[in-house]
Amino acid sequence: MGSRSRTIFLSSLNYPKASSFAVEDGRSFRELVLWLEDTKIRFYSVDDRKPLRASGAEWTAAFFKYAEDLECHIPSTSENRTKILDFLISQAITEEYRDNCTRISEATQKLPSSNAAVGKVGAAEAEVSKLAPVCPVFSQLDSPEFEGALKAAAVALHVPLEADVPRLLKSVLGAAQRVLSPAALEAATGKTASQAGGSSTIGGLPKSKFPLGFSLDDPPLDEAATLLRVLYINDLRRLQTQVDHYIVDMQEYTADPKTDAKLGRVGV
Amino acid sequence: MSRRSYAEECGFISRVSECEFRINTGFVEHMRVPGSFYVNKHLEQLMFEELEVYTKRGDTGGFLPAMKQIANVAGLPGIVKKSIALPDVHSGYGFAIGNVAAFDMDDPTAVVSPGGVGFDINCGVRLVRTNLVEKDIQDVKEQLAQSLFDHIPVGVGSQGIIPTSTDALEAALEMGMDWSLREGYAWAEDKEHCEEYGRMLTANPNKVSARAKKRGLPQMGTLGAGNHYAEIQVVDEIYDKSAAGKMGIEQKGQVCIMIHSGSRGFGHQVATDALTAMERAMARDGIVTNDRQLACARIQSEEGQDYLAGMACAANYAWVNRSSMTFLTRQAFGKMFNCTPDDLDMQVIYDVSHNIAKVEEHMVDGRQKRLLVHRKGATRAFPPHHPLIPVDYQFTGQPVLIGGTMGTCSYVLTGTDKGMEETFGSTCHGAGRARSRNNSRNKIDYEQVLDSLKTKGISIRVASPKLVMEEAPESYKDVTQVVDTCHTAGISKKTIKLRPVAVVKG
Repeated sequence: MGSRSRTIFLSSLNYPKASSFAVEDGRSFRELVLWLEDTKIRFYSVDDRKPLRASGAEWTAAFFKYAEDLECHIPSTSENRTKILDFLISQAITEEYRDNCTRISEATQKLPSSNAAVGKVGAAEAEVSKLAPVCPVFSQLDSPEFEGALKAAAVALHVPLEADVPRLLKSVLGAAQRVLSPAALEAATGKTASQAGGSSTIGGLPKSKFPLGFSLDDPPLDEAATLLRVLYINDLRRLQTQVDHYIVDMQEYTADPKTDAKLGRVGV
Repeated sequence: MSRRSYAEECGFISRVSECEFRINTGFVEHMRVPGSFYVNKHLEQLMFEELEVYTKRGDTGGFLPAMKQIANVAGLPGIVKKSIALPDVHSGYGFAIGNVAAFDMDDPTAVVSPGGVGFDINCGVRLVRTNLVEKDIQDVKEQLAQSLFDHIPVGVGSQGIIPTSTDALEAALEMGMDWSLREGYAWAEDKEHCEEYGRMLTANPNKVSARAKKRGLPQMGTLGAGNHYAEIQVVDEIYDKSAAGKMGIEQKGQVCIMIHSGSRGFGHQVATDALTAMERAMARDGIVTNDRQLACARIQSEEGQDYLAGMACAANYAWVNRSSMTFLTRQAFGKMFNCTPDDLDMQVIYDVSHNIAKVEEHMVDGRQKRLLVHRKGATRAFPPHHPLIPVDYQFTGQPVLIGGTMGTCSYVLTGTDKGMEETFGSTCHGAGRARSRNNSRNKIDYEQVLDSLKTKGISIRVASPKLVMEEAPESYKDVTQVVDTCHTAGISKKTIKLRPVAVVKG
């Protein structure tokens, strides 16, 4: 495990020093091991944890014993201490999941219905915007409530946060339109759910919308190739968006469009 | 060769499938490959009638019937696979309009022919979407049509309202839409959604005559006359929801703008200049063709290379022209609805070219080959995952914009793998004439035409009403039949149908 992924795992476990943790620092190493046992793994009784609170050679012995007791098969040598730590982190994540799995699966089950609820709001908004397409789009941006709600919406829609409220609003609206379009809602709530698992979908995506363009005569391979295609095209889209940004930046310096109605002449 | 009877001629034509016929070698002299044409029952009748009339009437001048023209092209040096005609085919100068022919770049005798591109180089169609729906524009339709008419000068001899200098023209010829971007007439996303990204890199303004530049300069940003138009359209039918969604078309009634225009006098002059040069080259290199109008030169010869460099300039001119008109359209809409074009989501869906020759890679008899594909009155229609189509359309295939005739429907199709195999990734471009211009002038009354548009509730602004009858729907084949034939043949797929609510024409 690299230090970056270790930081991600630790912050997902809510370890308070996740961002500052350095595996080379003996003290913070010891602290982390103890914290993992105290709050997540809880393999020993509180009294049995005493040796883990020690330092020096005593601690090292306790650390290796702890790993053995947890049935870690990594040899107990000082070169392996990082590997053993990573094993402990993954144990902690397993425990964390076990403690919360009911809550997590309930939350996922709720997703489609909550989407539909938001959909209604979206539809209502769409009605409003149809009625008055010429109204200035931004009119009540100064209230902090609005800004708070907008940020919450941005987080829910995975839109990167930015300080400029009108720009953020625009990105959020774009994302909302995409996610809550009638077609997307239909796909999320209705027809595709009944088809899921059938041969017409690949990784939950309808095959008809994501044609592979060739076949390897092996369904699992075709599925993997389709997913690679999707990922590749997402990358390409990101690149194209960057290119577009550069062009727009360049236009700041070069663009100066002009028209002169006097020049115009209608032909015969 | 003495003239054969109609029955004898038909002996050379065989049916391949429900919508494809083959013209076998021997139909005309020197055929190197067979010809092929796509039709449905009704269009089939038109094709055979034309041939029958030709066999009976004797040589009275005018264009040869389309079938003969397709076969004559099949006799040009370096042609591969077959000379293909799409359902909207009708006879034109040398090559029939609606003809696709590909020449092997690695064959030193292979030719390029200006007749295979046409006089209006890179004549094409661009579709711009909005987030408005029909009822938003219902009450302002007339004003919108007038505003478009005021912004985009139309008609023979019209002049544009974007100031252009000689230097600017030179730069535009070389840079295509990159010039429009640099000067701020286009959005970054426009380039992304344009065939060739709006710029042919082979353009060399030094290969273009001063006369062509002189004709092109004042016409920048004008529609021109003939069958060119700018239309406000609404979505009438969505056949493929997911592909339409990728194009930003979400619902019926959504408002779009279609711009159909080309390279104006500039392209015409480039083609004329090349034809003169090529007649000399043909004599020098001993190139024999069945028809004088098929003037051509070896691709690698000086004349061939000069033409391709000049044609690329004309193509760039046409893209700049359509970009300028998009800019003016955005201004017109922005003013009318009192907000920015950005807020109206006025993005270019796509921009296709239907008169052009391009170097492309295709499979011929199981081998990948570099070909110079001539498309005259035909649209490129690449399948999903082709590297030359925009990332947004990788899963749908390239959008193909089929402009109807004044007052009739237009369509958006997408490219398919079958089209890539059978027609060098090409499909139809529009309705295709059923009646010649002169014939239309004699038979149709322009007031009738305008009245019938009015009764359909279509606002219309024209520069010269008397030319309207040449472009009346009655002069054309039925675009729906043409599109349905391409769909049935599988060479492209129907996605969206649009119907006009306001038309601006030269």
